Amino acid sequence: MTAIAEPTEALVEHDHSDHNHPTDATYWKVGGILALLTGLEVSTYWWPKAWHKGTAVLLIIMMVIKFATVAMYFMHLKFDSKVLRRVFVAGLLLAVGVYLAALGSFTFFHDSGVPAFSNPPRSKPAPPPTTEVPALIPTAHRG
Amino acid sequence: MSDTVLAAVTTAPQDMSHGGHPPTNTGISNEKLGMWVFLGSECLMFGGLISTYLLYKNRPGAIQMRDALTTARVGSKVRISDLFDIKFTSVSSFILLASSLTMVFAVTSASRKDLSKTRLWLGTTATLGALFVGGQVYEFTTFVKEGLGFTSNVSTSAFYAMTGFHGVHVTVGILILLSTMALTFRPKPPTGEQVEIVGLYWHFVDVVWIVIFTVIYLIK
Repeated sequence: MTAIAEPTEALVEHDHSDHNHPTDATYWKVGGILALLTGLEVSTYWWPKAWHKGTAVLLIIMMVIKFATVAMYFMHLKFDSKVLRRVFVAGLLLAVGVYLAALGSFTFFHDSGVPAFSNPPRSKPAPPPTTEVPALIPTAHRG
Repeated sequence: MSDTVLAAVTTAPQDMSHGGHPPTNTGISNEKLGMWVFLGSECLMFGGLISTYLLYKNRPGAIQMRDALTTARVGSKVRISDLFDIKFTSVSSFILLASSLTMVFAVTSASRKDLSKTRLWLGTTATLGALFVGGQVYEFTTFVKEGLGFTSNVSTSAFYAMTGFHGVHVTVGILILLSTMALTFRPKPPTGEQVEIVGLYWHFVDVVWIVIFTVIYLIK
């Protein structure tokens, strides 16, 4: 009996969640916050070079906030069933994990140009060839 | 007590009040759940494209310019990121962000069965999306004129593949928006949930751009 009663409980939860969507005023506020964050992000492009390390961290934080805000409010993840949130977050976390591992294994963090990640050269560069390269153009035919 | 529960369960499958569909065990329509599963899988696809660009962005290779008379950069190591126009791309980003807001209003209007406003907001969203795609075409044209084509080097290939796939997603989104707008003229217009599912796709395209704009364009 308990097993077949579950669908009706789920339906009740669904009906309830449909009425929790934000108002238009909330959407305007969220849109304003997103615009402000985007403006701040863009402004970092002209910040002094000495701040680049901190700027990168700040940009990633702002990106995560913007991503989460759009997903939670505009895509209604905050108000809809938790199943949807789990489905999306599972895909997202899988992607982040897989590609961080891939970038790590492909030595992205060594070649990124960020001194914090750069290792010293693994070996000395190969010396230039000492032997003379033979002329590619044949000499004129001396018949 | 048990009779009441049984009656509720047996009558549930005939309940067609959920957007014309029978209710499901999860309480979520199959269409909506399917869209979220699709979006979850899209994270993996865009993750792959973004990672590939990050991996190759510092490998410029030799780039042939159009002709030797224009500049002295023939064979120089120009990166595609050297040609980014941040001011222009910022405006494009604002436009796409604004389109997310208008899409939300299209969804709320559809939920209230306000067809005229639904059409208005869907049309506005599609227009903003078209502006964004137009900006991307302009950006690509500028890069190609500078000598950075799809096959110039691995970095440009990765860049065009990533932003091109995103542009194709926006274009498909515009077509879906216009189709939805056309459907509102039929005697049985799309339900609020159907417009919401279209909105989910559109917002996803926006969040992908949030990541691309920050990681590719802004972080040096």
